[in-house]
Amino acid sequence: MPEPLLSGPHMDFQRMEWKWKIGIPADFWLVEEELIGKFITANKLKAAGKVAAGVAKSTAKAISIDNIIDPRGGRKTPHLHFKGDIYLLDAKQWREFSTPVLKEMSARLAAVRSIPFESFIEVSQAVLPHQ
Amino acid sequence: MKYTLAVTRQCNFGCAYCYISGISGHDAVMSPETAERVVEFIFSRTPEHENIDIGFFGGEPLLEFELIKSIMRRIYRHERYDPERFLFSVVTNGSIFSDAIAADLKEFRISPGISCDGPACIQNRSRVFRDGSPTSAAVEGNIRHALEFFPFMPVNAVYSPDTLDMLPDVVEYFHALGVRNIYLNPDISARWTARHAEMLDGVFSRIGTLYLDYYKAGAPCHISLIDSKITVILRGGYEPLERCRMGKGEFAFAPSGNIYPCERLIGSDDGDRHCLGNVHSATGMLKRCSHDSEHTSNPFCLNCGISRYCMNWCGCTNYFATGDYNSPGAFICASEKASVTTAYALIEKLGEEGFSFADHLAGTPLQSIVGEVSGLQ
Repeated sequence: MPEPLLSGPHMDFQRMEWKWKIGIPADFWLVEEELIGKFITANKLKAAGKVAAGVAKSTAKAISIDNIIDPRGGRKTPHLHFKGDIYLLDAKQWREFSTPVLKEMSARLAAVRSIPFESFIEVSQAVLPHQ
Repeated sequence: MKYTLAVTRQCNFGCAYCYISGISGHDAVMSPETAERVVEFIFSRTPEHENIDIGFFGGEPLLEFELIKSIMRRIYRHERYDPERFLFSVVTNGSIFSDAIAADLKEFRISPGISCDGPACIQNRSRVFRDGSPTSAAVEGNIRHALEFFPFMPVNAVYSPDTLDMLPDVVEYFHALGVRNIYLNPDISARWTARHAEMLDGVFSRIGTLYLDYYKAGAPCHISLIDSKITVILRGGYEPLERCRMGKGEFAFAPSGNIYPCERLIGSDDGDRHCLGNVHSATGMLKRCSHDSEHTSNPFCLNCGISRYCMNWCGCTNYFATGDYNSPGAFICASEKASVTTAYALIEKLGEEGFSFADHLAGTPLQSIVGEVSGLQ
């Protein structure tokens, strides 16, 4: 049988442990790695820590959502991941980085196609014998 | 790997849209022998590098809570059990709960989720006891009770064509109850029309307004159709392993031991359509599932601007809509589009309010029920 759940000062650590069992931890904006690299170089950002270490302190203004009882996400302040390092951003840098990315999303939304209700879909075989 | 154990097909509810056909007698409840085979299947079929997500399902699974506990003991005693790799959950209809059940759930590290469609005027339309009597009062009381033990417990609401326009009321009801983790899912077996699709933008936008209000008021609420899309937009799309892996990385077991790609496809457990094999057979699985989350077979998806943010890969939803695991239907298309549009609008609005959404970025778009609950315990 498992040990009883931890409580008190260990709780946050335990949350972290459990959190990273959820789904597949991955750097965000994976598809924008090149953009992230260029942004870090252009803004002369220095790595604040390794992802695995989890000890980097934010230099940006904290966002007042720390009271969320919600295990989603990790660091609540703007940051980027790049090749295993964490780079902390201030609010201005975050806006500068996120604006073009979101603009691209806006363009994608403009290119949405819709499946019509009257479309005929050919039904395929659902399960196949093992070969 | 995700495994769902339908420990019983018996249920004290008679929901109008249930996709599990209830029966009694033979094969209604999973036998200890079948449970043992299922546990062995799980240990032997899961690659060593993968975590194991086990969900208990039904019928109403808490009718067989002793069986669930015996399965848990069997897993814990197994020589290959590794606590770092396992997550457990149970989805209940909310009619059965007590302090003793809560204590056992905590002891066994099983995270509960409750299915409830909303306030009485909605819940009692479809979710009634087998004799037709209303369930709302009992379920509401148990949601309040369970939240005392599991404050981030998810509540799953199913909406139908006739309740779609009341979805914002459902969110408000849950938020007032103290629910902070809300899952909103369409009845995938319902007859959805173009008229319903046209309503989606307005309905989701109203939910987005509530989401924004809760966020700004310091009482944020995880709402699946919004949070999952905010995360996936900021992440740049779904990762391959975050997509549905039914029949390959996901299996469901009927009480008979029959193996299905997904619990939604157990149906009447006819052992034929969708069935991949049985845990009692020598080889376990005799068929393979044709589902392929990487390739949609609907040509309308190929050039769509938001296909990487879309759940057009959900095999069971697709099957109910089109009869093809790999081909999404018109309603899910409209729903995903409305959901992404709402999430994008919220990113912009909250950005204007000074929220960076960095907290979403390290999450996963499809946090499982078990994961989100376990994160708090």
